[in-house]
Amino acid sequence: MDGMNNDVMIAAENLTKVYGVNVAIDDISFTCKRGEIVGFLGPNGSGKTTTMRILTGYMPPTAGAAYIAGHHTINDSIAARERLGYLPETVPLYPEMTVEGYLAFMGRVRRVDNLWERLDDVLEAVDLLDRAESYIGSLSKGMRQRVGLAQAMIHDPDVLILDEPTIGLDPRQVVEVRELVQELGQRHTILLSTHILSEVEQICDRVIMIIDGHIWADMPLAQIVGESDTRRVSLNLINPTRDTAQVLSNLAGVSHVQQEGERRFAVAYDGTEETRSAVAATAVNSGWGLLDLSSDRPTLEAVFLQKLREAETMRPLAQDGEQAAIEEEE
Amino acid sequence: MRNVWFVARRELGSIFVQPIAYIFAIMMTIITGLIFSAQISFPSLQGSGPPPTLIQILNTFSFLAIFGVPAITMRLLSEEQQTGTIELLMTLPIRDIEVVLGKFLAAFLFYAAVTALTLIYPIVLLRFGNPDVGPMISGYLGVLLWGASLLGIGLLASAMSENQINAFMLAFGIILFLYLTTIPAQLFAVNPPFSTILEELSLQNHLNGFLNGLISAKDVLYYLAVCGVSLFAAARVLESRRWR
Repeated sequence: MDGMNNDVMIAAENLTKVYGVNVAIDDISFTCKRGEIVGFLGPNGSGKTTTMRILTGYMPPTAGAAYIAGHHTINDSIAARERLGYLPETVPLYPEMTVEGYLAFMGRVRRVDNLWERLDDVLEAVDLLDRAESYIGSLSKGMRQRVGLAQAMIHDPDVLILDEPTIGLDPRQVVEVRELVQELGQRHTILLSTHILSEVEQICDRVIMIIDGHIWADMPLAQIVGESDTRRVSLNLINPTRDTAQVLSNLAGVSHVQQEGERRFAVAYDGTEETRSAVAATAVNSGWGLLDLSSDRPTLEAVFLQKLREAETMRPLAQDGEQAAIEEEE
Repeated sequence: MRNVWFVARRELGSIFVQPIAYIFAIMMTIITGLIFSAQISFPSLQGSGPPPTLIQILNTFSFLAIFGVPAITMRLLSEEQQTGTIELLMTLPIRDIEVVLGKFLAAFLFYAAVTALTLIYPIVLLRFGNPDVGPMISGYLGVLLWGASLLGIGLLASAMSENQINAFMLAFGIILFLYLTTIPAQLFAVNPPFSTILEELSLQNHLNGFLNGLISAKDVLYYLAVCGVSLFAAARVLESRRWR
């Protein structure tokens, strides 16, 4: 079992969850290691929250098993929950309590040593020291979100599961929370879901993409956005000639040139600096009037949207298949 | 079991900031106060009469609790389910039964505190008269057990509903049914085993002994059983949420 491995902090094994006749997630498996920050991506309703709820032990899977730090989330639930910090999608707060009172309650249940010192540290980390005595009901949405984060990390858990942790924060707070998550990620395992793809690009080591209850991608971030096979530069020229594309594609190291507009060319090349500077020199020396030359790396957004399109094109196919099967039966 | 206390402590804080808690406490003190002043003033005005006892006060108190207790318990678990804080509670390292027991303990401590407000009446009686202390003690024990069983039912109703009004009506309905089983019992008087069962099911019948100074194991067990079964069922209902 994966749970036996000390380094695997989150293990999902063939998780399936069915609500009535709706299959929310279908046979999902992945693991997260110690010190990993994993971004959990997917459109709304794709099964992210369901998966997270199963991992936290809030609900059992219909089939499959989940382990937190080696503890089964159902059979060894309390031990699994002890090692876990969780920020649900709807931040669970009691508006009639003060920030301090609420966090003290969480800390006591979590058996935190030196509770009041720890409370100060955590409040400082989420920048709420001056609001410790405020009633939660009087706080802004961003502050409440940070109180939610504070409760998730008060016991310094091995595993943090954060469902959209930066939602409702202003840009400065987003940066602060991002830095906080990054810092926590050095010692903890963090699984976070978000819709903000640039956030994932900045803090996650790995990305798991889930669409319609299936995992569509699970790979290191570097692999998704970095060493991809499409190494390209874009050229913007004032007056290209008719043979521009021809001349460029004859250069050593250039594999393909495509004209994308009257003045715009996309050049696929081997990725070396030599080829790239040769492209630039040719553009200048030929008098085409080089305006700019930029490298196109596929963004996470592009990859994400491409995966979504893949998923959508798969769906009608599957339905057609079912339709055909029904017709055959008739 | 420390978790039970942590949950109870948090809940007590929430109970005491709700206006319903104060409405309940004020209603209880005003009405029992009226009865008490009537009880001690009528005999003196008429020159004769039975010495005042606590029976009527505690009887009224327990009757008012039929309305008051569901109002106290209705939000205990419904609110958590409605606002989503239940998700946190159920992913903390606390067992479902500990959540239920903690909530119950908080509500019971509040109920006991309100009951304690009526201690002014026996204190007055003891200071100015020579009442029988035994029925007073057994009466209060009965009222506390009565409250425990009502609170248990209320908590079960609250676990079963996300909506506080529904939780109130459900608790009120169950309590009223158990209170009034003496009526069908009379209808079935010709059918002894059935009428006996209905008589014994009655919340009302088991309180009379306590008020008159009689503590019987049967009555104590009845209230403890109603309370225990309700709390156990509430924990099960809470647990079943996970499977939905």
